[in-house]
Amino acid sequence: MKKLIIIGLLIVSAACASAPETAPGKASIYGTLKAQSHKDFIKKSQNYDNGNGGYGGGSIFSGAIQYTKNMINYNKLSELYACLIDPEHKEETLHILEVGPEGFSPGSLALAPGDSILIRNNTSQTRHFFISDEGEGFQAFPPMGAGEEGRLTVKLEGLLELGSDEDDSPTASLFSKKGLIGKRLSSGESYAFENVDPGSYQVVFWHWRLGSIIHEVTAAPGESVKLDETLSVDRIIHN
Amino acid sequence: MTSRSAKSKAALFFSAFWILQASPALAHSLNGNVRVEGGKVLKNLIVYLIPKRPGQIKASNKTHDVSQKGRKFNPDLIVAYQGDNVRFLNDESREIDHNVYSLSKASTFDLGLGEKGSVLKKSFTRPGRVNFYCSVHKRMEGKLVVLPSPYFAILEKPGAFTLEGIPKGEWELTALVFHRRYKPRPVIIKNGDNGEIILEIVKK
Repeated sequence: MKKLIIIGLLIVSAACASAPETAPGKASIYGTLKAQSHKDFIKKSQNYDNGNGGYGGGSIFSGAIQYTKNMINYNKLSELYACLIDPEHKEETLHILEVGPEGFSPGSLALAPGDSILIRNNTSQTRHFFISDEGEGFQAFPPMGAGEEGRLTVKLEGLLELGSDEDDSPTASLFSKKGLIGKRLSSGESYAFENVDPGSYQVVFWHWRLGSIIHEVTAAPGESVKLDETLSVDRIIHN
Repeated sequence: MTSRSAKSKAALFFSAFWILQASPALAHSLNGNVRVEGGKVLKNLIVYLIPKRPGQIKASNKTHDVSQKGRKFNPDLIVAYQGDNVRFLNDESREIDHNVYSLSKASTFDLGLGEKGSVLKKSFTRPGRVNFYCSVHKRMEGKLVVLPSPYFAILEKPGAFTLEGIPKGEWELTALVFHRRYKPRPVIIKNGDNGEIILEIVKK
């Protein structure tokens, strides 16, 4: 029993984000980001005392949701983004996307205007990729033959769609905001923005299907600010 | 007596005005054609009219039903007039729960969890595009287009269309194009225009 408690504590401590080492005069912002099912779904699972299956297309065992292949497994959800918005950030990042018969990989990107996207066209045809906002904003990649790659420097801001002239799909979702530094995570993973200048920042947590939550954070010299967040539909919409 | 007479005349005038407004005799049809730059075959084009004057058309309260059987929204594309209601029916044959939510600018909502046999309702008052999802199931997603008038046509591919029962007035004829490479070039339609209209869809 004692051994089990010790193992449990070790697992819990390993899952928690630890404060990064911060250089003198600098600051850090760190934490853990996870995704979670809708609160009503969790509540129902906790009150459901029957392990015979059927609930939500899945089953409930001991008050926990047993995800099936048709369900979104929030414990394993990938492509969650933790983003620090630093308007002074000037470094340009190159984001690489592969596209094949199954679509884009990754299927979403958080980036800043000035960053570049490199697409590797692993489909069997020439494609004319583009990014577009909901209005007139539009940028075209150079045409890419099958097996070729092409690059574009992003100028647009906002929620963007990456698509191609040829078909309605595949598409990828982009979140573009000036000064954005993004970390791509899976649910339950830790992130850290280390050795940033002390000051006030926006931290945005985003997933293409769950939406975003924005925090205003102030970090003093030598300080490590811990900021954990959980993305769920109900939390984002009713926040 | 004079006052009563004036009131009767006013009532008569407004009744006549209402009848004329609603009269099909004053309505007309619009025939047109959609042409896409480069001959691209775009799917699900929604051609519609926007009234140029507020109050040009009556409010609506039509109800659209969406099935969720087999973990799919059916239909997965709904075209509605602002003020319409949508009912999301959990008509699954076994105990499966669904949730319906949207993060779209035109309508952000979370209808909570709907058990088998339940009906989740929502009315849509603001024109725009609404992408909705089920937070429980992976591939459950649908689109709702809320239009500022009930005069629209859904085209499976570019070509001819007819809009009927349009009250006289000034309108903007435009289209919703799902493919973001393309945009419509709207056309102004005035009283009684019944010549063939060409609506062009061009590349951005």
